[in-house]
Amino acid sequence: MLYFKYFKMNLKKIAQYRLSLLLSLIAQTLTASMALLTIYFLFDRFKIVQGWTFQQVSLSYAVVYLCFSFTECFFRGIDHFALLVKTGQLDGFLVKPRGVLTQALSCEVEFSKLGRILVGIVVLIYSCYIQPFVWTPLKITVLLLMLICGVVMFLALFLIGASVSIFTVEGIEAMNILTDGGRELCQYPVNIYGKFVQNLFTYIIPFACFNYLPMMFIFDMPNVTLFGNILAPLYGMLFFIPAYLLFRFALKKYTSTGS
Amino acid sequence: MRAYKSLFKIRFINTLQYRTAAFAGILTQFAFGLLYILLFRAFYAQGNVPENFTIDQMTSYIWLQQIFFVLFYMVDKNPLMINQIEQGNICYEMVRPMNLYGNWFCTLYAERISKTALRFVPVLILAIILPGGFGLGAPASALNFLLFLVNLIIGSLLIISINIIAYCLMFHTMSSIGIFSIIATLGALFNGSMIPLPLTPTWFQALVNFLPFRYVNDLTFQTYVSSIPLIDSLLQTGIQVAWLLFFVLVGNLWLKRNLKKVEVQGG
Amino acid sequence: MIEVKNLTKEFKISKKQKGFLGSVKGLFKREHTIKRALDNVSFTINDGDIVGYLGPNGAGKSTTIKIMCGILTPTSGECTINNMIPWKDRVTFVKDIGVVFGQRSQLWWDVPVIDSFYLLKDIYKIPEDVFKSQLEILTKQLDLADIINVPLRQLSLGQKMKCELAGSLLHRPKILFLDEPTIGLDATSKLKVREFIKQINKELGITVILTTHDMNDIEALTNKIIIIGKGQLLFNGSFDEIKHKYKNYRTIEIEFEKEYDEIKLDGFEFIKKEGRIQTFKTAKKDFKIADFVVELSKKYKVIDVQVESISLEEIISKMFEELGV
Repeated sequence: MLYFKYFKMNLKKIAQYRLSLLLSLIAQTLTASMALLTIYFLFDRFKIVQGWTFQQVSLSYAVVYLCFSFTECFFRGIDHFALLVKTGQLDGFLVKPRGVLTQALSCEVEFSKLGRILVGIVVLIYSCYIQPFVWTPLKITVLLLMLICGVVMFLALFLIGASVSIFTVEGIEAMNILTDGGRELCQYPVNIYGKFVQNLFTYIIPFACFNYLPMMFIFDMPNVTLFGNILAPLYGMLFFIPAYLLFRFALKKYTSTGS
Repeated sequence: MRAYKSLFKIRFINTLQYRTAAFAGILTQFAFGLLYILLFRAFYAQGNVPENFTIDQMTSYIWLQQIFFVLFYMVDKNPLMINQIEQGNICYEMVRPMNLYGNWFCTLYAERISKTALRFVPVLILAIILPGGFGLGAPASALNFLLFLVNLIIGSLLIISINIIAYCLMFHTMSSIGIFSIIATLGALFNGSMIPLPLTPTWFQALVNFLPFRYVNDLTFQTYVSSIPLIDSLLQTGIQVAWLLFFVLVGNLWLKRNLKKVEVQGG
Repeated sequence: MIEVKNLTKEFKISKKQKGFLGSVKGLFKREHTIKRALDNVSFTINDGDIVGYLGPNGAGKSTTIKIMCGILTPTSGECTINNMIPWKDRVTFVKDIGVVFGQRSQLWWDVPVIDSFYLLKDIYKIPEDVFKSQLEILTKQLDLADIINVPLRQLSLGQKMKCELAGSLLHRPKILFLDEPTIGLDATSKLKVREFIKQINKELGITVILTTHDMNDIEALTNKIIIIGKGQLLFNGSFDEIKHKYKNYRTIEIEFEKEYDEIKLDGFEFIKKEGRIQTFKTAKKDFKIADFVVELSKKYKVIDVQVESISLEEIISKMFEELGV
């Protein structure tokens, strides 16, 4: 697959900057750990938030952080799409006999983000371990679905960001508010923020589909339904479709204006 | 002194050009301010609220953080300076009849002040007009406000002096990316950017008192909302000044030593 | 065979509004002006041609190239290349073209050049044996053996350009687009690049379309020139044709025995005076140097007369002048 050929190139590229990579890895690991520490501090003082315990929120944190970092690490090119447009790399993609999206997804790997992924994985395993209930096969399946949905979700957001960067340069920052803000907010179950935010992140940008809703099932909370909670990650993935269509539309616009 | 004045002016005007970037920044600051307030309010709803940090104080604290975000964020990556160090072009700076430390200090300060000037008024206005206990409250007293202004100024100088220490470190790693983000991350935790320090455990609050970072901004904000007694604020202002002097001195000496090495290498 | 017919491309340019309020307003409502980058341009290029595509900055050169590469869709008009429409069958179409954008690279900055070539092999799905033989040929012709294992960033500009050329030819394209291929190169590298372009054109029959500001490139390489200005086609023909058209334009430098005041000559335009030397321009059809010197010597004491025909560079700027570009 073309992605892995690009991956090899990225590996060769970072081999040239080892010290820089090492320091960045440390920095990223620190960042992720600090975010967890913040959550710990809050629970140390307040013990519980809207019925959610630290154990439960740590799982939510792990899922969100892991998905975000994974997408950011391995599909950095699409996150950096504005740069591809600015440097003319996008023109380079357009004269190659491969899909633009494929090339954009493959072209850059940000290895320093492995630090965040590492923290995410450690916390995920630890938090699965400390949960007081038994992990049934269904719960494990739902957890895996949550992870996949999370990656698809962030990919979709990056795709929207990429499309926005074709239309307007100024819009990118607004998009970052959505991705970074979403990531920060959704480390916690979205119902703690009240109805408005909960609805926003359920129906408009369905972040809740890969943590809050299915987690209610995992933690055996009341009023859980098959269609409302267990299958939520599957609906969440549908978010990719409009994002992809928007990207197609933006690309068409690019080829008609040259930006 | 005149050279510094005109250097400051030119940097200030130069940064003012980036108005669209500032517009996006204003949006970001506003959104993230709201986001954090929503988050902490959710926790506050549980009770167990710290006595010296009520929900209103917390809200004001968060808004002050956002209003002065660009003034206090940990590491300012100045591409020109990074380039000078990484490429070794720093030796060209030495032919100028100007102290390099002063030059850098001036450049970094002017950029921060102009970025702040572009952003802080809109965020301030938005923060004030927000209804329902979501907005920025008035300072605890006139005295608190006065001391807040003093802290604000010293704090803004302190962050620059810390920044220059980061650039001095860069001479040894020769790469800006990692070292800056390590400092930025640690700084953000220890100065209350990730979570207001009054909400952290007692042991952590004791720890950060011994580190320079909280004197950059946390002290300033706590003086405003009066979450520490005024007399303590005053005492800590002394510590703030001491840190500033310390870092200016260390930065000066370190930069001189680093430059000597460049000369030797350059041959 | 490349056929361009009535190609027109219009861009909407939104007016930037001033001030903070302006940029807020700009988010909701924008005023547009329409700029016509290409206006009814038609030409054909035959297989095996080397075509120089000329025009001042902003004339629509890169717009045309981008349309022919499939990057841009035109507003109206047709463009058929090897019976394909570039922007419609993009993926199939680009297999047959190679593109070198002078100032940006398709190779990886930090990685040895050969690795970038292997990646291109995968991107273009070039069969192993084709890749090997093509790489061998290109390495030999471009003298790449010593630099191919070095990261791109350590190479000189000339070496980089050679690698870019090789990279764009690995998949054996039928058409090669070169955007400013010699920009910034030293004299030796320029000669090498030109020689190579000629060679691949001759030996492999690759059609080459190049934009450049260097008239020496044009003189050395092309057998056909297309000139555009302000989006319109100004000239389409052979190099000799253009030279023939302007062959009567001459610059004449006269060295006198002593310093005269500005001399007036019928049909000659005075250009400058430097001590005893005065320079003139003329477009006279029946100019004969012998007659001219005889005539001149009657009035003045002449030491030397030098006649130069107009350079291509001057011809082009003359054309732009005449057409009001």
